[in-house]
Amino acid sequence: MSESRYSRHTLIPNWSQKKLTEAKVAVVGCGALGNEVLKNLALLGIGQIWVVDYDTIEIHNLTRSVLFRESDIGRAKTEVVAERVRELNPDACIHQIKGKLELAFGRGLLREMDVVLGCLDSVGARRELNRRCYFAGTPWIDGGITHNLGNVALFDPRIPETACYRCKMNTSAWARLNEKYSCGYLKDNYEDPKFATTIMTASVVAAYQVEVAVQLLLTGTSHLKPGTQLFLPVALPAGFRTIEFSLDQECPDHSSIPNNKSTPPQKFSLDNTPTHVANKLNLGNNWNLELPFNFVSRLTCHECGYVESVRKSKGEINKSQTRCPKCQKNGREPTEFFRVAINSEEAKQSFHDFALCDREIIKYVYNKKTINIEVVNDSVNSELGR
Amino acid sequence: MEEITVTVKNLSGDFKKTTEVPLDMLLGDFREAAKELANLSNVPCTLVLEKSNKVMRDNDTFQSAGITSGSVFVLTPEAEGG
Repeated sequence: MSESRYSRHTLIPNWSQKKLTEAKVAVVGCGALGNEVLKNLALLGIGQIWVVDYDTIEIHNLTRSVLFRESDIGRAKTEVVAERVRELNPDACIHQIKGKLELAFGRGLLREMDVVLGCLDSVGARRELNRRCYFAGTPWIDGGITHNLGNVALFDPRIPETACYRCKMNTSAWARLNEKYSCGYLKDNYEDPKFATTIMTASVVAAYQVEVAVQLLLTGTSHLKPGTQLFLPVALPAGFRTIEFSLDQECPDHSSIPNNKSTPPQKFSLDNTPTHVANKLNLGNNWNLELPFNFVSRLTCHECGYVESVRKSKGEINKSQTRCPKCQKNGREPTEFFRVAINSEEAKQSFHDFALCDREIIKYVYNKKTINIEVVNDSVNSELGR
Repeated sequence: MEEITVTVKNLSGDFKKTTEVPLDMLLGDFREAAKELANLSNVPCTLVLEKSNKVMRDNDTFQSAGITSGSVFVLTPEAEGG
């Protein structure tokens, strides 16, 4: 790290460049907000940054995305932002994860983050990020924009008496989340709603998101309290306003908050099978393994008898895939589960075969007890319990 | 059922309506009705009690939320773009 690069920062009372240099921050979503957030994190000298997005750059992104160029059209957003962040600040160590959050960014890695910045554009993605951050015990800062206003909210599982994103969802938000599914499958040709946004709202909201993140990194707390949302009427001189959400006493995301974040789960290779790991852990003869999503192993056509191996999260399967490719009849039946039982054939499949990503955390339930394990890719981790 | 008088407005204040509501009305239903009157049917909004800045829960009623006559609500848009 170049000392003189941050010399102006050191003039700020109670600033610690060392804390920022040692910080681990994830940015989920690399659109307009993600670009602005990443630019700010790079300039600040945040040491380790993970970027997550599955999308590629299109021409309409260029009006709001400071890190993209016309020559980048068609390239992965994560790849391009990683390059540009390194240009802005060679001190930054940036890690790209190209894929959907729930399928590519393991909760074992998420639990190592000091803070996550949500730069997302749908209720469903925010709901998923909240679910995963609460499971991991990691605070996250949600940003949202339109063409004339924005909001920034802090959700912090370390302060469980405060509301999370799941708690704040009203009936209208649930309706918007469920719009994309039909009987649990993705609707065919469904497209998330497109929002009118501008670089002005993106800049303002991203600035506040990063301000809150820096406060958390430097002091452990922020002036924006968890469970509250800063409302920013960018185009209207109406002043900022903070609103407070109520805790939902029955919130399942709150129920998943870890009791003790300091003890990491034991790691096992994705090459293992559930049975192999259960034996290693001496779980006895009465256990189930719980997957983080509803999993479909195959689709069966009761009309012609054709059975197709699928092996995907149900949320990744389109409604049209339930039509039989052999006899063209609709309504193939899925073999669907989220628990793998000790005596099932599935218990002998490798963890790779359950569409689990590197560093995902999964749970065994045995004799009324539970134990989490983390599954890792052999090629990136050498501390395996195998 | 007893009724109370409440006011609902949008953020800029160019929509403002004072109305009688039954105490057992769900606040989620009230929010949706107010959005329609304010021409915000297609805009995701939260219903915020002005004096406390607390967001109202859909399944609460005016009574269960402890809302008193004369209360003012602000329809606050939710920005969901990124």
